[in-house]
Amino acid sequence: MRLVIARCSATYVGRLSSTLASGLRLIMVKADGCVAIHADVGAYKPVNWMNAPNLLAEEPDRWVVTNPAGERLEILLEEVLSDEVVPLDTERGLVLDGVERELQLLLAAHPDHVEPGLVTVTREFRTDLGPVDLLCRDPDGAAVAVEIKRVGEIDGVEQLTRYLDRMGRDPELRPLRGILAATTVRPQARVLAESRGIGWVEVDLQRLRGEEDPTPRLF
Amino acid sequence: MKLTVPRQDLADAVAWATRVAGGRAQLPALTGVLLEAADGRLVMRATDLEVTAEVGVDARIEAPGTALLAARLLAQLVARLPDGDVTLADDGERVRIECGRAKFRVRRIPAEDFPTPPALTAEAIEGSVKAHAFSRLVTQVGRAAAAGEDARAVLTGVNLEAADGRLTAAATDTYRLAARSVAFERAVEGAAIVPARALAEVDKAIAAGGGADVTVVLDAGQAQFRVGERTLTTRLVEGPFPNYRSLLPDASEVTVVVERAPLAEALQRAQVVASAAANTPVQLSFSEGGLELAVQNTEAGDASEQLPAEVEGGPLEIAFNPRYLQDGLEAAGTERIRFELRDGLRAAVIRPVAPDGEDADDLTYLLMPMRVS
Repeated sequence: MRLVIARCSATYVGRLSSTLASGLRLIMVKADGCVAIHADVGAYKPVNWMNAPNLLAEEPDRWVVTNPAGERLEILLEEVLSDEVVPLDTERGLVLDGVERELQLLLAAHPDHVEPGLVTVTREFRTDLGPVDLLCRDPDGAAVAVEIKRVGEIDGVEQLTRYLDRMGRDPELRPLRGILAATTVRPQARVLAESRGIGWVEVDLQRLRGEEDPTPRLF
Repeated sequence: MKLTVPRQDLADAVAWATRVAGGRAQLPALTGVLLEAADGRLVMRATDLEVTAEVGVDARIEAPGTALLAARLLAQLVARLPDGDVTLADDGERVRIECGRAKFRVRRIPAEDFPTPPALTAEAIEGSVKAHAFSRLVTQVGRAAAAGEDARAVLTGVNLEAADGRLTAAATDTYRLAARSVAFERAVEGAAIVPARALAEVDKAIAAGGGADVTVVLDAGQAQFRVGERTLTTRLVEGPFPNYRSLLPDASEVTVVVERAPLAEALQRAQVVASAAANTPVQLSFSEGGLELAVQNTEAGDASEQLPAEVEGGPLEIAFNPRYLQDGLEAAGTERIRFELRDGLRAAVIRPVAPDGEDADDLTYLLMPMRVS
């Protein structure tokens, strides 16, 4: 992980255009190529970022990050206060929040809630970009990567896209397709997933939990 | 911008707009309430991108203009001002607010990012419903909608269907279902799944004395409700809504008419015992001449109570989740209610009964029984 604290401005051109005025910020360059500019507010969310795979071209006072989709992030460095590289541990799997972890366990046990006929091969299937939540096989023998979120948003589709890209290089996993599973899938995530040939499904957590439910359901 | 407006009008309007749409800010602009002063009106608008609240009040406008101010701050401030007229006026980067001897200067939020809600399309269907009927419809049906972040999105909404001069509302959390219709004063057809929380806010707007009618507009991707000076626009929940009509039983083996209030009170007493352990059902035993309500809880003890009832058919025993049964009794709302039952394992129907024995309205509250070991 490279951590740069710098006074900088940035311009992003891609799905939309944005300009970030000059300010003191933290720029993170992750081992997988992600570049994120963080301000001192906003929790986990950078003020500007580019997901991997990226190409980072460095000049003394200018970084240009480009990706195969034609997106471009230009960072103008006015003053660099700190520039450190800290090797972090390799990805050991995200500690999921309670609902996501419960969903993962329940869907691994009942993959038919994702799609009828699916059989779970393994949970947390490792890829070199991190573990995909479920690897399943469909009745035709095709591999199905299932990414599980409490709320399915664009980030989840992007994440699954990256996993599919890496997994697709393994001949034993072909043919391969992906499904985003969440209690709610946002409309934008549905559109993006469908445009990339990725399936999405909204799962009913209460129904999944319902094995021990003393009240039967209407439907 | 410079205007003068009665404090109470301003306080009521800001409080409503802020409560409806000020809670989940994703952008700085969404923490604000937009004030637009023109033509003798002050219009205030707040949005969380899902629900947009707009409310207008009469005002004396000396200079038209707009300002985006922090919604919660403005609501708290105006609520504490003394009674009288409030003057708002531009003051550079701030807005000056004066009432009596109290003076404030409130910083503006840049208004450029404040979103403009999408305009209604030409295909939008519009009709009106009596406000009191709409309020009752919403409170009867909305209680059956699912709540919480774990719920499937489609179950957190109320399905509104306009057809044949009626507006039919339905909601279900899969354990129970409530459906009812009211007269819709235009014979148009359309359907939309409206978030239950948005309808609850429309109900509050009606309670605030908004007007005699609610204008309902169903459009692609959004719905709008206009009550007096207040307009609530909400994004729709994407469907499809479950085909609930196929679940409604077309016959019953046992019908029971019972006084609602005594049953509700007995149920509340029994719930004191039932609530000591999760998933404790309330058991109803129907036989000639009456019903017995009973709760058995190994932790806390047991309770039972007998009530008179007009029972046709039976005897029959059935158990329910006490809270869902309570909701059904409250939804019916009439002096007497009718149970329509098939057996102890299949869904039961609760309906309101009018004094003359007919259905008071067409509410159907369908409720699954609990399994009892």
